[in-house]
Amino acid sequence: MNAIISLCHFCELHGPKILYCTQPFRPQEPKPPGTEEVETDIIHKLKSSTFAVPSSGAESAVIPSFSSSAKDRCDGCKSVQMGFVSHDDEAKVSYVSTQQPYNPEVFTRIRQACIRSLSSEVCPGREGPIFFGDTQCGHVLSYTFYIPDTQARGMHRWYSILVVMMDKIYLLNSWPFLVPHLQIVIQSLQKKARGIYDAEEAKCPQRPLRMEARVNPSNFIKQRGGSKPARSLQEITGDKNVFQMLHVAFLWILKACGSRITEKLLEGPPTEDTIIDMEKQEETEEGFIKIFTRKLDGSDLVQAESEADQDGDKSPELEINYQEELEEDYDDQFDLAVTDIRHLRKVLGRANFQALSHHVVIGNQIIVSGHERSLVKSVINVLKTLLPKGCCRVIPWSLKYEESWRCNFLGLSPDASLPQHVNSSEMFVLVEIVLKAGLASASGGTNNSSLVASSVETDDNHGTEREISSDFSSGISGPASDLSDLSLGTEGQEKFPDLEHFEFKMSSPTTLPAKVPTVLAKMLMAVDNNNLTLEVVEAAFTCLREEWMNKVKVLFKFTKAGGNRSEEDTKKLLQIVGARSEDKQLLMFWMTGLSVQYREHILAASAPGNIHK
Amino acid sequence: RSRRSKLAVAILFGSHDEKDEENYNQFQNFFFSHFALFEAHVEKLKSTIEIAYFNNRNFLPTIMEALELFRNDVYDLYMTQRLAEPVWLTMMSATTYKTKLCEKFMDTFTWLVTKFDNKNCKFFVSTLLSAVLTQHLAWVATVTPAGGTPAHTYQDKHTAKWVDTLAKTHPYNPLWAQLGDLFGAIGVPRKISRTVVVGKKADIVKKFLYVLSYFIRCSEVHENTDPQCLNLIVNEPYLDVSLSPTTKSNVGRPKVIRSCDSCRCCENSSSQSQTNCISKSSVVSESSQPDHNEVFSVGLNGIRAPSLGLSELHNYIVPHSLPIETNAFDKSLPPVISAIENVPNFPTSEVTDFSNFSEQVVRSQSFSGGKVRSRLSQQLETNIVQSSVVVNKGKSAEILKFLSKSNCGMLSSNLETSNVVKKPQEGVEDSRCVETSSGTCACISLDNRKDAEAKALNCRQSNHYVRPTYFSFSCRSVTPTGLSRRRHLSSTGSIDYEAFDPMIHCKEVKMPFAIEDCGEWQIRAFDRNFGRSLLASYSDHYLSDFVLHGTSDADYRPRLLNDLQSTVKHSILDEPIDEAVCVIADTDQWTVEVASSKVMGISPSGCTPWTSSKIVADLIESVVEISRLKMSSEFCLMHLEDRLQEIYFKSHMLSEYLTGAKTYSQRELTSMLGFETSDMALLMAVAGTHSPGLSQFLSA
Repeated sequence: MNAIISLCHFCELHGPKILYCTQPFRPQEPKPPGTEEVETDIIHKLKSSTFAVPSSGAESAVIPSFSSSAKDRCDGCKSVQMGFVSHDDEAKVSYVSTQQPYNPEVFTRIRQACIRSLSSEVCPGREGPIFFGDTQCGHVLSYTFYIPDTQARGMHRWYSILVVMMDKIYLLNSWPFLVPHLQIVIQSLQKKARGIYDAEEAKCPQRPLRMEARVNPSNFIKQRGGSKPARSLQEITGDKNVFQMLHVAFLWILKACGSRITEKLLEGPPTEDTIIDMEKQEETEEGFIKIFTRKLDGSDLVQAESEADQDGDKSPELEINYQEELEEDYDDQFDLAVTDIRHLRKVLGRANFQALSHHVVIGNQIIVSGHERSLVKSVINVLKTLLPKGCCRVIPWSLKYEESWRCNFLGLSPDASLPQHVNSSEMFVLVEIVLKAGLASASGGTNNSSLVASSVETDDNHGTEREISSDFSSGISGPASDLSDLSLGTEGQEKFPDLEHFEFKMSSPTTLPAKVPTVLAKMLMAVDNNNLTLEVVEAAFTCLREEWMNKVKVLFKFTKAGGNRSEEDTKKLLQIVGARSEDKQLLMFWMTGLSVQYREHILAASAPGNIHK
Repeated sequence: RSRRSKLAVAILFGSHDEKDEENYNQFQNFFFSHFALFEAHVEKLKSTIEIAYFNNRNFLPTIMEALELFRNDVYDLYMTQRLAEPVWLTMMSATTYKTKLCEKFMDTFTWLVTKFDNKNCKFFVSTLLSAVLTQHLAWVATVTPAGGTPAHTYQDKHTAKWVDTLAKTHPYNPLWAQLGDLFGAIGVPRKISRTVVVGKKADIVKKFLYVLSYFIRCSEVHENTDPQCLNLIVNEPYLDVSLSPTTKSNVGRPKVIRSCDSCRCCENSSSQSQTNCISKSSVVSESSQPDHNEVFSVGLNGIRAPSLGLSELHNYIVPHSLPIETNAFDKSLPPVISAIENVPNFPTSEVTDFSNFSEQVVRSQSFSGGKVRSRLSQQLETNIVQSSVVVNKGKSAEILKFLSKSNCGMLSSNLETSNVVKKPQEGVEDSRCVETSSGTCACISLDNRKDAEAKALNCRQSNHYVRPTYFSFSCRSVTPTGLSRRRHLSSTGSIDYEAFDPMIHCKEVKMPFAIEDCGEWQIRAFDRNFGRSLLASYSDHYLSDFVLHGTSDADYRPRLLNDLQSTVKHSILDEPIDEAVCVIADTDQWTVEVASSKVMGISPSGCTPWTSSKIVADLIESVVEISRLKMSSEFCLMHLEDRLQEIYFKSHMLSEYLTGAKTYSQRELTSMLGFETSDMALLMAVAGTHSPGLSQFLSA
C-alpha cells in the first residue's frame, strides 16, 4: 500500500512531534517504452545508498537541516537514531522506519497531519479513530490514545498513530481493516506501559507525592522527572525493542492491508495461434518437433461425419528429428528476401499471387524451389500469414521432396525432382525461383509447361486492380502486363532491384475451384487497398483469421462432437456461420489447424453424459 | 470587509447498538466500502444547502426536503433488493453448477431474442445490447486474448495473471477497480455508465436485467482471512532474539548473509518457486561440463540452483572480512568464513553442504559489515551471471519453462543495451509487459557494461543451446489503459519519490511472516463487493446509484438527468470524468435511448435514440441459431465469447488504421474496413480501451 504509518506524540515540552515513521519504498514506475534508461531496482539503490553514507559523523550528516535542533528535543519526542529496514524481495518493496521522513515534501505532509491529529482533529473522548485530510496534504486516518506514565502530567501521555495516504477511497475502504489492527498495536503498547505504571505506582505512589509538593513554574518539570524532562517510549513501556516491534507491526499492516483484497479478472482465452505456439513449444523442448498430422484428403463433410462418433480420433503423431534451422540462418541473413505480402504480390503479379494464395488457404501443398534459401524461406513466411498457425506445417528447406502429409509448405532445393506419383496425383503448386535466362543458363525448368489457369477467372477483379494501381502505384510498369507477362521478375525492377535477376514461375497440376473463398477475397481486398498500411493489413488478417476460425470451431463442434447430423442441418449451419459453398474446402482444411487443447476440450465437453439433451 | 459565514452539515448514521452487532458491522463495512457513493450524496446535499442559504426565505423547508431526499437515497442504496444471481459473477465463481447456469442463461437469452428481437419490437434486444456493450466496456478486458499460459487445460476463460503481478508490485485498490469496471469507466474518454430497464411488466424487465448482468461485467474480489497474525507479531518475544545484534542466543541458529542474492534465491526457491532461483542465473547449457575447480552445481531440495564460482568468492571474502571490528560481526562471521574456506576443497558430491550454508544468511548489522556485503553481493552476482547452471537430461520440462519465462524480460533488455541481435518474440512486447518474475530485476540492475556484455554473451550461448525453448510465455501485455484503470490516480504519482531519502545506516529486520493463504474467500456479501451491491433488481421507483436496475417508474427522467449532472460534478470514482451516460431501455415502448450529460447541453431531453449495430445483431443471431441446432449451452456461450472477441480484433484494426491515417471520412472507413456505419460507435468505444490516443477521432 502506498501509505505511511507514523507514530506521533504530544510532548509536554515541545507539543506535537513525529516520533516514528514507517514508509514503503518501491521501484519507480516503469518508464514508458522507448526511454533508453534501464529501470533501476530501487531496493538495490536503497541497499547501496546505505553504504554511500560516510560512517563517521553520521549523526550530523544525516539529520537534515529542517529537523528541529537538539534543544527542541527531549527523550520523550525521540525514537531511534538508527532506523530499521526490511526488504520484501518478492514484491520488491523496502520498508524503512526512521524517526522522520527525510523527503521534505513527505515530512511536511506528515508533520501537518501530526499537528492536526494531536490538536484539532480529535475524536470525542480523545481516544479513537478519526479521518481528515485533503487532496494536497493527503488523507489521514488518525487514531489517538493515551499511554499511562507515572511521570507524566495527568499520569498519562497522549499519542496518535497516523495512516497517511493520497488515495482517499483506498484509505476509507481499508478502515474496517486498519482500525482493529491499529487497536492491537495500541493495546499492546498500553499493556506494556500499564505493567510499568503499576510497578512504579506500587513502589512510589505519585498522587500523594504531587499533592504535597509545592509547585511553582520553575521547578514543575524538574520535580517529576528528576533530571530528565520526559521519558522515552522505551522507558514507559519497559521494552527496549519497542520500536523494532513497531517497525514490524507497521510494515505488516502496510503489507497485509495492500494484499487484503485481491481481485480475479478473467481474460479471453489465448488465440488459437498462441495455443498452437505453445503446443509447438512443448514439443521442441525435447529437441524435436512433433508434427500433428491430420487427414487432409477425404476432407469433405460426409467423411467427417462418419468419423464423428469415433471418440478421440487422434491423428497419428509423427515425430521427426527436427534439424535446427540454425546453420541455415547464418550464411544468408542479408540476402534476398520477400519482405511482406505486398512485396510478394508485386513480385508475382496479381493473378499469380491470387492463385497462389488460393492454393495456400485451401491447403494444397506449396513447393517453393530455388537456390536462394533465404528467398525461399521468406516467400514461405509471407504465405504463412494467410493461414492460422495451426494449419502451417513447414519444412523450410529440404534436399528431397517431402510428402504433403508432412508439410504444406516445402522449401525445396532445385536439384530435387518431384516423384512421378506426386506429379500425377497430389494437390500442389510449384513456385520456382530461377535466375533469369540471360544471367544463368541452368534454369531447371521442368514444369514450365502448365501455367496458372486461374488468371481467367479473375477478370472482374482485374478491373479494380487496374483502378487502384493506376491511382497509387503509378511508378510501376503497367498493371496489365502483370497478367500476360509470365516471367514476372521484370515487374518490380525499380522497386526491388534485388530481385530483378529472378524469375518466379508457377505451375500446378491442380485446378483451383472457380470461386475464391470469402475470407481470401477479403484478405486480397485488404492487400490490394494501398490506402491501408501494412499494420492495418496485418490487423485485418488477424481479424479475418480469427473470425473464420470461430466458424471452424462451430463446424468442428457440430460435426465431430455433436452426434449425428443430417445433411440439412449441416447446410443450415454453414448458412448460419455465413459460409458459402466455395468456403467448404477451406473450412475443412482449417479445421485441421485447431489446437489439440481445443479439440480435447470440445470432445471432452461433449463426451457421453455431457451431451446437451 | 465582508464577513463570510460558514455552514457545517453533520450527518449521524444510527448509533452503535450492542444488541445488533452483526447488523452494525455490516452497515459499517458497507459504509466504508461504499464511501464514494455516500460522499456523492453528501455533495448533492451540500449544494442544495448552499442554494437554500442564498435563497433564505425558504431556507429551512428546502433543507428539510434535501435531507429527506438524502435519506431516501441512502436508504435505497442500502436496502434495495439486489439481483440475486448476477450471471457473469456467478458463472465466474461457479464450479459445480456451471452447466445449469449456462442453460438457464441461454434459455432466457433465446427466449428474449425470439420474442422481442423482431421488427415489431424494433429489434429491441440487439439495440439494447449494442448500447450496453458500447457503454459498459468492462467486457473488453474479459475477451482480450491472454498470452500463452503454461497451463495445459484449455479453459474457456482464464484468470488474468498480470493483475496479481500488478498487485504485488504496485498495490492498488481492487474495490475501486471493480467500481470502475462496473460503471464502464474503462476507455478514453472516461465515462460513467448506468443502465435502467423501464417497464410495467415486472417479469420481462427482470429477464432483461438477468441477461444484461452477463454483459455488464466486473472483476470479482476476494478477501484474505486475517488470522491473528499481528497479535503474534506484537507480542512475540522472538523479536528480542532475532533482531538484537548482541544477543548470543542465536549462535546455534543459522546466521544470515543478507547480501548474497543467490542465497536468498535459494531460500526462496525452496519455499515457493523455482522462478527466482533460475532466473538469476542467466545461462543454461545442456552440454557444458561443470568445471570442478570453479563451478559447483548446487542441488537444493532437488532443485537446481545456480552454481557459483566459489574460488573467487573465497578469495574475496577472506581478506575483507577479517579486519572488521564490530562485535556483532565478529561473532557471526567466523563460522561463515570457515565454511567458505572449506568449500573449494569439497568434492562435488558434498555440494549440498554448501547449499545449506547458502541458506544461512548472515545478517550484517553494522555499517562496515554492510560494506563487505555490498561488494560481496556484487561479486556474487557477477559470478552468478558468469557461471552456468548445469542442467541434467532428466530434468523436468517445467524448469525450462520457468527459465524461458523469467529470462525473457531480462534477456531482451540486456540484449538491447549491448547491441546483440534480439530474437523476435512472438506477439509479446516486453516493454509493456508487467514482469512476470520478481527475480529478474536484480540482474537488470547490473548495468555495468562489462557485465551486460558478459551476460549477453552467455545469453547468446544459452540461446544457442536452448533456443527451441526460447519463447515467451509471459503474460499478456497490459494495455496502457489497463494499467491506469486498475489504479487510482493518486496512487500513481505523488508518493513515488523522485530521489531517494538519504538513509542512516538502518538495522535490517527480517520480514515478518506473511499472511498465510489459509483462507481467501470470495466476498459474496453485498457490503463489500460492488458486483453484488450495485446490480439491483426491479423496483417501484427510480434509483440513483445503481449500475443496473429495473423500474416501473414512469416519471424518472428529471431525476435521471439530475443524477447525470451531479455525477459529472462529483465523480464517484474520485477522479475527473468526461461524461456520464445512462442507457434507458423502455420495454413498454421498445425504445433504447442513451441519456448523456454531454447531450444535455445541446438538447433538453439529453437523450439520443440508439440503433442496433450490425456486428451485435449478427452475433445474437448466430448464437441463437446455433443454440437452436441443439448445440450445448456451454458451447453457445463459448461462441458468444468468441464473437465478442472478434469485436475486439475489429476495434484493433480500426485503431491501427486511425493511428496511421491523418484524416478519414466515415464513408471511406466503412467501405475500406468492411464495417457498417452502425458499428462505428461500438468499435470506437472498444478501441478507446486499448488505444487511448484515439479520443481525438471520437470527437470528430
